[in-house]
Amino acid sequence: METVVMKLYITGQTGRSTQAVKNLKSIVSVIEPEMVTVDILDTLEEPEKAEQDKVLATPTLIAISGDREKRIIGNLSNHQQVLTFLGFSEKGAKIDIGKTEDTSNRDGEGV
Amino acid sequence: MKRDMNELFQGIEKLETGIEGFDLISYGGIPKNRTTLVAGTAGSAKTMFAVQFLAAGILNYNQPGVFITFEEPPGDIRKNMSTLGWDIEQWEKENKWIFVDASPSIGEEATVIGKYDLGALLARIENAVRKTEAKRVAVDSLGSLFSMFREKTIIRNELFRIAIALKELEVTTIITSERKEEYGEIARFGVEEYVTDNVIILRNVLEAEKRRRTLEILKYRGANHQKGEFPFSIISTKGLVVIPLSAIELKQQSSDKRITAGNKEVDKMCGGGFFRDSIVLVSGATGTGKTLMTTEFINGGTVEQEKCMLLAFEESREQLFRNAQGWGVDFKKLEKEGRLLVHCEYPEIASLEDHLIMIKDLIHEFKPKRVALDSLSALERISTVKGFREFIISLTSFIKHEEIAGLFTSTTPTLTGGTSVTEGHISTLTDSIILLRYVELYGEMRRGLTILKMRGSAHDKNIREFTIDGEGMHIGKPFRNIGGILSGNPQHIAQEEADRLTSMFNE
Repeated sequence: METVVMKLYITGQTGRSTQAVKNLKSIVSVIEPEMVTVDILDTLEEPEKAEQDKVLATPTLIAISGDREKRIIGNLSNHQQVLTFLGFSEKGAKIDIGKTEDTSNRDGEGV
Repeated sequence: MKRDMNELFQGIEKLETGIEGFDLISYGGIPKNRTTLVAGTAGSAKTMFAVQFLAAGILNYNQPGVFITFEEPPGDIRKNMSTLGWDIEQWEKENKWIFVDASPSIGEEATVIGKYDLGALLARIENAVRKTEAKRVAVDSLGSLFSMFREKTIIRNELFRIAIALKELEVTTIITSERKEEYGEIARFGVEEYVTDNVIILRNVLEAEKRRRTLEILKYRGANHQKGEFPFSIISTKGLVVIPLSAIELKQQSSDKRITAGNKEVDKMCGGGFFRDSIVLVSGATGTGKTLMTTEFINGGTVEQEKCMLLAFEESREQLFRNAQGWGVDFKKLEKEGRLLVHCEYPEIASLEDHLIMIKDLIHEFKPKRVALDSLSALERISTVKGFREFIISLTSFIKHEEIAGLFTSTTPTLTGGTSVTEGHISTLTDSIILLRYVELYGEMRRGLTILKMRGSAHDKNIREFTIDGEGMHIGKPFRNIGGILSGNPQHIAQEEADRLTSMFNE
């Protein structure tokens, strides 16, 4: 199974940034470690990367799996929604990422 | 007057945009280190204005720029603007231009979970400005940014934050914004007035089946500017060119130096010739001798070693040259010697605005001391009433500003008497008016000439008969005992009646 590369863009060490980092750590903790890599990028320090990735809003989470890319804007406050949108079950098992639709407004496991 | 102008220029510091004509109507450009909103409907050339603002900065003032695009991808902008001769790619290589690409990505899966702001965008803008040491920033456009995010309140707050940051970076910014109607409200997103200090409106109005582009400076917080709508045109080699309706009257002093009309008798009637910086209108029916007066005017100039320019919109080169030859003036030779430039064009090939810009360019290049235009009536065909009036105002003020003597002709629709529509529009704008009329007398067509107006000078008030032969125009005696020539109904007046009328005014 392909690993998911996650890039979390934040801007400075603001309250919102810290929340997003904390939320992401907690979300990733349910996923098996070998299935995911996480990179945290501060746009103030690496604006060029933000430019390349065309990031406008922060926090923004970019999840890349193969040639597919998904983006979540916001501080990731709803963990379940994040997992579902990225194609993971609540317990972190990977569901086929290709078949998920925009389920951000739906509760539950998204199966 | 002079003192007033100086006061106008003081106050807020302005940044010359380099957009032709704009700096004139805005009294020196857009307020420096401030944000200016450029609002317009779809197709009103907002993006071009934004791009040109940066391009002109790089080309004319070596001021680098940052272009933030929410709409067209940079590739499209590079390609579209290359037709204007702007090599954005090269400027990017030279670190004079940076795109902050915020154009929408197609087919991207995205969602919003939790709170966010536009911190990344701000960081990217700040980075780009620092990297290029930009002096100018263009944002295109507000509407596209708003359509990207659902949370309008957040975007509003963030725009406010970005505007403050741009001010701190000491850059001069242009933000474009869409409007739905040409004459409707300006603020569509509810942030415009908070985010920007100044408002410029671009319009593209359909009027009498003709498109008319105008630019209006609506608000310049704390700075002066010319009011009202100014026509502008998009020229394939320059981009947007604004047409000022009046040049700033700094240099425009009235000259009392006389120049010859190229005909001693006409000079005498004018009280010693035309004034150096005056505009003369010659009006007459077809065949009354307008082209001859034009030719003599040009010839008179070249004899005095003045460079002359002839703008012809009615006759072809060959025709003009042949006519002149008939009166012993060799246009071909004069052109070869660089003393004359004849520019022939069909009025229909371009809009009036384009013609005006072309004429101005020719004058700038050739630097003539005299300009003759034959005829205004031909140009009137291709324009709206308003557009024509603006053309005349703009052209006359430009010619005067350059201290050039001008002679325009206008064709009256009826053979005897009558006034042309053209005259009605421009009689107040010209300094002198010469009327050429057919006079029907005893079953014979004769020609009459009178000087209707000669600003600032005494002149012959008679209606004089004139004849045309191989040498040119010969002015003869006044028509005596004839009334109603100008109205086209010449009538014989008995000598006693004429004497009685004269004596009435003598008392």
